[in-house]
Amino acid sequence: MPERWQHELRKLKALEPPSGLWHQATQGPRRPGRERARARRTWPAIVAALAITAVAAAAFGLVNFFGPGGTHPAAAPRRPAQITLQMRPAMPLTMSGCVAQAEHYGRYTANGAARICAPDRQRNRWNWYHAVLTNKGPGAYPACQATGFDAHGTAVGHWQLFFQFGGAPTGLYAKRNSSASFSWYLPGPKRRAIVRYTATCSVNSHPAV
Amino acid sequence: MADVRGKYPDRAPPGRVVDYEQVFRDAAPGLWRTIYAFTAGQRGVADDAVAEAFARALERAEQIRDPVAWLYRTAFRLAAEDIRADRRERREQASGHQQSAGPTVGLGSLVPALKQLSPAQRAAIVLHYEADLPVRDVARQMGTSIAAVKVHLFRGRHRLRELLGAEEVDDA
Repeated sequence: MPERWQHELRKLKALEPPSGLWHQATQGPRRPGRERARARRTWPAIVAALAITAVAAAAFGLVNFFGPGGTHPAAAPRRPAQITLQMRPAMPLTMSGCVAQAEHYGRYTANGAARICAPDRQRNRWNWYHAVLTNKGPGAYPACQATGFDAHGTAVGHWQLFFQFGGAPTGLYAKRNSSASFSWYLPGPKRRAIVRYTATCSVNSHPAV
Repeated sequence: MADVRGKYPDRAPPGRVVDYEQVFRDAAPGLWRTIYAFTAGQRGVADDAVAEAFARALERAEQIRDPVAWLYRTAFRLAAEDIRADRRERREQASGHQQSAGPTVGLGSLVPALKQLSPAQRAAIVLHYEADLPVRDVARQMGTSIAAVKVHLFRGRHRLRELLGAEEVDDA
């Protein structure tokens, strides 16, 4: 024989659910599901996380901009330089050589390469250089600044180099642990005879993409 | 319950169409009674939890492999949410107002006794003794270990004996 508590519990079996339950079920859920409720709970957290990230990024940017040792974004490079550029004056590339180089490095079409290589007479108006770009770090877009000197050791100009032949709009990409040899011209009009160059490079963290 | 589970095996093959109206006819009475006991006689909560569980099952029928187990889990969760919300509401009102337990014909002593048990003890007791589930399945339904279910059953039985009596009675 069952104990009294079991006997009482068995009385539950006499109970029947109300008759309208199935009809109520077929009308569809009335409460938000767990996924929807979770989503409702999650959204504010996501928004808060995004806001915090945005504030942190803004603070980081401000510190970089105004803080000691900070540099202006226009100077682009931020990371330690692992890229070197050795330059020397060179003769202008021929049209075919120029096009081949642009096709090789920048994956330009023949027409696109012809546009950036310009006609012969225009190419002669520029200062051409031959360069070896060496990257001892991970792959990166280089940001280089060059200074040209004449035979008297006088600086005749400073240039930011974009290596346009390397692809538009980002410029040349320096693969990791590699070096590239190329000839290209300085932006702007030709200066008087340049006999040597110095150049410094760093990583352009914000290439124009 | 065992028969119902036999009809709707744990691992239904993909694409198998389940007749939820038939599931309702077979499983809803037992499920409703279980939830009714779990909520300590809150008929409205039991009605709502069972109807809502079936409504959700109908909505995502193709994703459910074990309909009866899924319905039990869902109804228990919904009822537990209601109980918690009700408790919060009562605390906020601080008026000592008790929700009406609904009609308890013939259950005059059982419902107050169930209220003296913890929700986990109630769940274990009703699943094991009312729904006739083995301890292993009770643990699965409650999302806990077999050892924990045994503890809940032991304490629940002990408390019910204290409240309702342990003497043997004629079941006829």
